[in-house]
Amino acid sequence: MGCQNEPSGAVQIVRAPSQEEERDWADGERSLDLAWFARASLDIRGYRPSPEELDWAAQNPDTMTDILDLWLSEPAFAEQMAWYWNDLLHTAVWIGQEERFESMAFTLEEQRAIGWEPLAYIEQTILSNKPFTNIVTTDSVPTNEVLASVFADDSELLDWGMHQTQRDHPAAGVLSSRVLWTRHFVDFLNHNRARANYYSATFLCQDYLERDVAFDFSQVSLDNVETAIQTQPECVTCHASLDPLASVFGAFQENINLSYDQQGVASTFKQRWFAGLREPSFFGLPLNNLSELGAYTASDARFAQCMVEQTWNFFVESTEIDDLEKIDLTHVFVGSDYSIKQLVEHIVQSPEYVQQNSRVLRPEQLLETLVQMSRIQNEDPVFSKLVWSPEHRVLFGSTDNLGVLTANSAFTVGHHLALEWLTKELSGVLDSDLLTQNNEDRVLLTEVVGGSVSGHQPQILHWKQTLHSEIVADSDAEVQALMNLWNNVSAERGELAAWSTVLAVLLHDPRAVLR
Amino acid sequence: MIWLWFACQEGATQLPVECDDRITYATVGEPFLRNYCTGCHASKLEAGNRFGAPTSVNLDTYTDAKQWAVRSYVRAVHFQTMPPSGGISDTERLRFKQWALCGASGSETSTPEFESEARGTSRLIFSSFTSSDNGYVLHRNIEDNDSIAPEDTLTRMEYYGFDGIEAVFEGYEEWDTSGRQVSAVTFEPGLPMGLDNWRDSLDVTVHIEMDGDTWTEEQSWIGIQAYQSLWELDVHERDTSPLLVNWWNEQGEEWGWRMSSDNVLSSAFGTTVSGLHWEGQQFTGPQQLGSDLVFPMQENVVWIDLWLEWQE
Repeated sequence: MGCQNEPSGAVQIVRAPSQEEERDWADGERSLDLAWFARASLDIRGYRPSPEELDWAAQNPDTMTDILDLWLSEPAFAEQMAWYWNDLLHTAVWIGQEERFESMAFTLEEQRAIGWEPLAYIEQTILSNKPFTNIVTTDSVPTNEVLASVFADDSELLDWGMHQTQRDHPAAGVLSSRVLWTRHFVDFLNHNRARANYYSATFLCQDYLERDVAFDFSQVSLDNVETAIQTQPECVTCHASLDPLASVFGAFQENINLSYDQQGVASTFKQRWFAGLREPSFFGLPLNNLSELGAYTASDARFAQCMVEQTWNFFVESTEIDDLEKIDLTHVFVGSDYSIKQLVEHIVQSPEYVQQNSRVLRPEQLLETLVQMSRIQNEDPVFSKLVWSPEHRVLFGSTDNLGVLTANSAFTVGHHLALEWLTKELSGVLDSDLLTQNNEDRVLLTEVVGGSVSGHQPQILHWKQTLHSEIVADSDAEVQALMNLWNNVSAERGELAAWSTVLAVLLHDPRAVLR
Repeated sequence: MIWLWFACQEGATQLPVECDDRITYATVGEPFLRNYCTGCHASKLEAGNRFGAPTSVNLDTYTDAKQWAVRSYVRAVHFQTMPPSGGISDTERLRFKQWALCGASGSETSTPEFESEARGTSRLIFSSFTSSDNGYVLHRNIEDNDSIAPEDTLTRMEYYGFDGIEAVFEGYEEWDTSGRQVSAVTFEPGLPMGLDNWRDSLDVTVHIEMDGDTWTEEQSWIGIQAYQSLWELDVHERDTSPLLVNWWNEQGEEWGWRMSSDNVLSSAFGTTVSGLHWEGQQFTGPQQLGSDLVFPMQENVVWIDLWLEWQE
């Protein structure tokens, strides 16, 4: 051919280190401060640092990351991760689909246990320090006393744990959760494609609906859509892999149906029905059942990368992960035997995490902070609404997979309304506390000393330190201002109004609701 | 074209791409190929499931992916003619280009290996026909795989009535060996059994119960295909095209065959018969379709056993 002075086919590869290659993961550490300390505590454990931890961090500014291992070892980290995953699995609350529960007349406790089951795969995997692939490969099922009773399982576990069921159960972790696939139901005409896409989007970060495909809908009649799916190249592009994937999701009910569910996890008959539509396959590889889907998923590089991406999105909401950074973090994740703890430890020290804008606390973070600050129980029937009531939860920025698909971490009127509700309910507790003589029996006024006005200062100090993650002294101007406020309101409207007002002021402060 | 473009650069040939050691088969190549290619280009996919992809072009192993890397780049990134409707992001194209043109580095990944289980052959192992107050009831036991496994046996009762002209199929119920009802299907109106009641289209309401779920479908049955597909409800597995079904009687004599090149959307335990189209058929048995005789409906006899087999 006509090229002079060129060895035929010779190729010189020019390598230039990309900016990402020069990345220093400790970059973020250089600007760590108490705001980062509080944010990391909230994001990892779901609650703010204690005053003692804040003191320690203030005295050890250069080594404050040493505490991460400790926080990541707390059971609260596993629970917090499960709540993050609720934004993907959407099973804790069933907004817009409550009637699917109501028809079965479950108690509130049973509803919560059912809703937590898919999330418990996440929580229990982290608690047991197993590789995160366990969430799609375990043949054990998470259960507790309530759920075992609902599903007539043979578990003797009281609290949540993993149980080796006697039933023939797929080794597919949460992919075998009947609750998950009840939440993500399909109509029969959809032939489980919606479930397959949900699986692909959630566990492989490949959402078929997000693909920017060139498709001329005018060329396809709705009357022959099933034929078009098999024959038109524009359709085949996605359906060649989506439909065979869908064939393994046919075994699940649409509704929580005890009469059937008590008999087993999934319907072999129904699975065959759907498998008959297209021969199942995993992106062209032979696939017969959910266990094999779990094995494929765990071994697929897209799963590891996707878990990195999803976890990143939990912690760094404002900045999408750079794709090469994702490869780097995936290397860390896989190298640590799929340890979510190692992954999170890296993410919270990244510059993107450290430098991101403030976000509103998640509902469970606000509740847990109140729990840490007082003797409120996180199972309290009133305050737990913040987390478990669909309306309260969405009002405070969470998702519902129906009208709200993305968690809202900017402060909105919804957050304001939720805070109004919260301060009103807290006022009721204060009223009760004021009638309680014994300090040990009080819920919010736990630090009041004696009956003098000066005895109120420790309480105000305690609330401010806990809610604002700040080290404050008695002489602090803000503390003095709050004391004056208490005195003025108390003089005009009484003690209850004074405590309620001070707590409302503290709670409505951006430092209390932002991280 | 692409080869010339590579070879005719001025001075030293340079790749029009910046390489990066982190971009390998495991990190970029395999995820890209699985997302967009292996649904059709995989070595264990049968011809009928490849949507026209040549059987010689597979991208599901590192060895094959490396062999086709540059061509994959040309089709998916440069000309963007694969996959047919696109859908690949700019970043994904860039990374795949880097992988493919920088030597397609990597090694085989640890993908588990499974084989597709045989889809099996349905076999009718017993049937008898009795009359009832409203018509006839066909009792059947159907074994659902090649090997006779009692746990895979279904008991099925089919209900036939009479619409004033001929027998109609009204529906069926099925139970597993533990006595649990698996399904119940009712057609309103019943499906005509013979040619006397021929019509070009028949709209029916189908009530289906399956594993505790109940739903209703409006279905359109078309002429003779309705008649034929009715008997395909006996086939307890389905596959994609082309589908060849051989029918045999209990003496081992070939009774007939049917060939379909379309996807068959009927299945066991229900109906959902749509898009059914037989390309060719031949029946040589004693009861040929199209004869004046209604399909064998003698009372109180053990009906002929059928082995329904197909090959891809």
